[in-house]
Amino acid sequence: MTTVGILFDLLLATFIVLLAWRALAAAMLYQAAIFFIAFGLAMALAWARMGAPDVALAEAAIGAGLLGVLLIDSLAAFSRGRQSREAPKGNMTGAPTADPGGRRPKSRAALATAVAAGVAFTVVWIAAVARMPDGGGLTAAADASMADSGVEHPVTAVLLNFRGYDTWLEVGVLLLAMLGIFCAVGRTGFERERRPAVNDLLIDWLTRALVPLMVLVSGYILWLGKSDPGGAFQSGVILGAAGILLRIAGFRAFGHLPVWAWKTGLVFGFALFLAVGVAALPAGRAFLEYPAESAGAWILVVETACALSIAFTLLAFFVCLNAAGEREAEAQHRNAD
Amino acid sequence: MPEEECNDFPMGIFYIVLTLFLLANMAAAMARVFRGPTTADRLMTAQLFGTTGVGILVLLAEAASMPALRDVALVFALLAVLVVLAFTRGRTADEAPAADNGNGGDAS
Repeated sequence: MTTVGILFDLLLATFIVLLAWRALAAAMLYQAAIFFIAFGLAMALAWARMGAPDVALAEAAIGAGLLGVLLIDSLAAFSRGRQSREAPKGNMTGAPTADPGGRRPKSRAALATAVAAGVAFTVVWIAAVARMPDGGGLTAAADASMADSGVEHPVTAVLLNFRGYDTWLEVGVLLLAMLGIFCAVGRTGFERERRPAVNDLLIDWLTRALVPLMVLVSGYILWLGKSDPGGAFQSGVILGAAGILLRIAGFRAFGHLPVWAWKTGLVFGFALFLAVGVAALPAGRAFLEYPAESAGAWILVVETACALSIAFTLLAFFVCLNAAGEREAEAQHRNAD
Repeated sequence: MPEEECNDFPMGIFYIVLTLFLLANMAAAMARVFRGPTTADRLMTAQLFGTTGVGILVLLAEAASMPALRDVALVFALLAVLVVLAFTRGRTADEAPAADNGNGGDAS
């Protein structure tokens, strides 16, 4: 590694620590969200620099792209309600009054806990690094079985084949998160019209230009997973982002679908993954073990289903959180009148 | 793998120097993100971070001969604009009810 490379890494590491600190310590939630977006970007660069394009791709799509939209839009939707309660015309520039939560409480106990947790983590981390086996643990075993995996990219082989249940449960985690949102804010968002259509040439043009591109790139990334970094999660995130863009621009974007169709879309990937896994049992294979000769095709089917479900779930996150914010704002308005 | 990057590849050093330059640019922009003063300023700079980041990723793809990083840059470029849209839409929808309450009959 050259000196310039080391300089680059040092600068990037400083960035990451600074941004993480500011994201945690920022007094306003809007600021914290923006620092978090910048942090995601710096992390993606760090993963790229460490030679992990798979993680960089996921971080770029989720950490820097999608999560930022969810945070900013939810803050905007919820602060509308708070704002009308506190002052009819909020401060539009720095908006200290507009931020829900306002200033964070500072407590010595929290600080002490954080420091203790940091120290404990460092100790565990050092111990784990010291015990790391030579040759990267299971890397050799995974490499040796690549021929049976049905795909050419080792990360996809591990995620969708060798440790398929991990990925299956991850899709389940998304589903659980969705259920959490259902419980917290209800699912009325699906039946409601979104904000009135936008009369903005720029947004309109941008949507018409970007959405087809996003759908295309989503399919490309999904297909790429077979041989290169890519796959269901990243692809689903991009597809979900296309839906979110449509909603932001005032299009209905699946809003006319009945609620049962939404629910089907949400569980589709998880259910199909499970069905494929269980179908292996009567054939005398292990749970989630694909037949070796057609493993590639099965992986593509499962990945496509998961990508669609992930896209649906992320769009539903957006729709539900937004509807909850709107409802709160409306309730505030009614109280004010 | 990163160790191999620019040994027998003279352009590699050039690319790495360029990425360092871009990163130094981001360091200058960091001051704006930290100091604000308005949320829009910070968001604007965070967006410029994204643009510079795309440049860095494309250069890194060449320097480390990891073509997959170009896809990362592509995804980045596609999704970065969404945050700004969410921000501006949130703000304009904020202002609309304050300006006139009968805004085209909102769905009720």
